Amino acid sequence: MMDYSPFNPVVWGLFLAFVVSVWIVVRLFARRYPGYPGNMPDKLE
Amino acid sequence: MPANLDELVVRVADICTYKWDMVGKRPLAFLISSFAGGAMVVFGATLALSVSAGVGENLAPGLANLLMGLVFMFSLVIIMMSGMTLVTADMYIGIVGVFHKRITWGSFMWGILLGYIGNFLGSMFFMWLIGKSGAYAAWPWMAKSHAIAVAKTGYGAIEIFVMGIVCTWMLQTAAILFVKAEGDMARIAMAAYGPLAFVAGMTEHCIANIGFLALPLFQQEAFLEAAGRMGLAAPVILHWGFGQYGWAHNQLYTLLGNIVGGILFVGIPFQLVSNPKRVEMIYRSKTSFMGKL
Repeated sequence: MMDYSPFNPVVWGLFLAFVVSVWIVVRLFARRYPGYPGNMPDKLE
Repeated sequence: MPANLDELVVRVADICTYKWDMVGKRPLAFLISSFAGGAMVVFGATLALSVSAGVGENLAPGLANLLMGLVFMFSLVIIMMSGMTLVTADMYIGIVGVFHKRITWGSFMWGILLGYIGNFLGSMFFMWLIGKSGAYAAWPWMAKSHAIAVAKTGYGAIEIFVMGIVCTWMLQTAAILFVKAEGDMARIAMAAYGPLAFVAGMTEHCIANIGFLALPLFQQEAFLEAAGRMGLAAPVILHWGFGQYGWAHNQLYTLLGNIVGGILFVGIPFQLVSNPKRVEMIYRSKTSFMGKL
């Protein structure tokens, strides 16, 4: 019964695709706007 | 006037800096804030159970859901107004912070993990107290809490995952509009919409479900005894593990769905719709980079 397994391949596959696509979106955004958001102090954290 | 979208993402980034500053420099304070937030969520779950027990489906199938949503909706209001932490509300904040280079991926994940641990402890502790009280150990409340848990843990992985996505899509839309709104009344209205929508909409929220599912598990012995006395045939046995009718089964897929819903359908769209050039103009005149909820 895969539907009740903790390793459901559909859900984990979708989640992995989500993680990769979010990382790609952030990277593409940073490449498109390299100075974004500008005027930041050197160390915030 | 409420903030425009460009001002909104800058406000969210400022809140991110404030929250993750606490994560980094005062992790115990952040954990306590998450503990309080988790308990506040299950204040709502307790009230929802209280008002919906015994409401007959023949009266109107959605009536119990509406009642649950109406009393649950103040959970997010008290969390947001008090500035406590709810991990599902921090997901959109964190991803906007990553876009604005306020935090790294690593600290984003650490903040979410710490928030989840605190929320888990708060909601579990509160429900343990409720279980010990015996106030919800009368039949209509035990039967309702058991029925809710059977439904939630009886769904398959994909169903729970999808309803987890829908949940934080609704909830975090309300949470981000809380930041956009000006004035206490507008903010309260925005915050109230989120839990009303996700509870009445029968979706899956990881922290709310900790409470919804823990209480019937804490009270299962009393429930089975009462069911036996009433001559009910073989009620479903709930358990804490993975597999059908398991607490962990629901929690795992709800959490995965909640992460996707808040980040992919709220944080990223708001960030991408904001105008980067206008955001940079706002930053040029900025002197403070921290903002509280």
